Amino acid sequence: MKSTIQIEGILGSSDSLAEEQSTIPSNYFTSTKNQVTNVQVTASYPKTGEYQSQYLIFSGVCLILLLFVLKKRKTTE
Amino acid sequence: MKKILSGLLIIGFLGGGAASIHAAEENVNGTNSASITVNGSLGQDNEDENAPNIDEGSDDWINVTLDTANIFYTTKDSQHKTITSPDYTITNNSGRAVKISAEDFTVTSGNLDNVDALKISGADYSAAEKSVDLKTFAEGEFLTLANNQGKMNVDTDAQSTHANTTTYKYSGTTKDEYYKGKAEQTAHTLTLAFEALGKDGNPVAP
Repeated sequence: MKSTIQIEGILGSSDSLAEEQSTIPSNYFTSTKNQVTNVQVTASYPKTGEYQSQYLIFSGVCLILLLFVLKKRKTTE
Repeated sequence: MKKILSGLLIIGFLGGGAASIHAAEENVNGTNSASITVNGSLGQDNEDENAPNIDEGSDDWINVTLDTANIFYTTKDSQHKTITSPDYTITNNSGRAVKISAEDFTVTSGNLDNVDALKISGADYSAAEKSVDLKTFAEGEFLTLANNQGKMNVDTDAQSTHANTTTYKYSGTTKDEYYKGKAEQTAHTLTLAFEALGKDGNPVAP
């Protein structure tokens, strides 16, 4: 970023001229750009149908129970 | 044989189930809602040294107050041999230290033919005297100022360790007795370049 200063030189003139010093109000550099950053997502939804293990567990338990029932029947016969 | 097969079947099902239960603990599944933590940062304030939205080294950090009209003059006491000026102030209002360089100096009216020496000088953040020769101008660093908390390194420096404001002035000499009986006015443009330093007080690589 740049800024210019206008300088006036008074050489060999009377000092009274030099006393006519005036300062222009201070120049402020302001920024206009807005940014939105630092957005953090800590949890997300799984994809549809990604996890089906519950069904497998359920069917496995059913199979075990079936095996137990069949075995019990066999032994009673 | 049957017993072995059924045993393996049971282990397989239970093992797979346990693994799937462990995986389900880390993800949202089978529910119709989940909470998401979102930290939003809107807008920017370059006077806040911890402002989150401004890239290090960005021009958005630059916030400097300075006078844009200066004068220098010769003094009657020195029979117009000595050039001097009022003291002018530069203040860094930014949350980052700022390096100020003299990029260009042009004579827009008159000339400096009868000026032997002319320089602009001021104290930088460490109170060291810095100057730029305006007679034989060469582009270069002029001053570095600390941030508005008086820090060069935002993380490690204590508050008010360094200066964020300084004064500068013009000085020089004219040729022998040339201006003893002559008066001239000159006009110049001095271009200053500003560079926001990084959080550690060092320049940021582009």
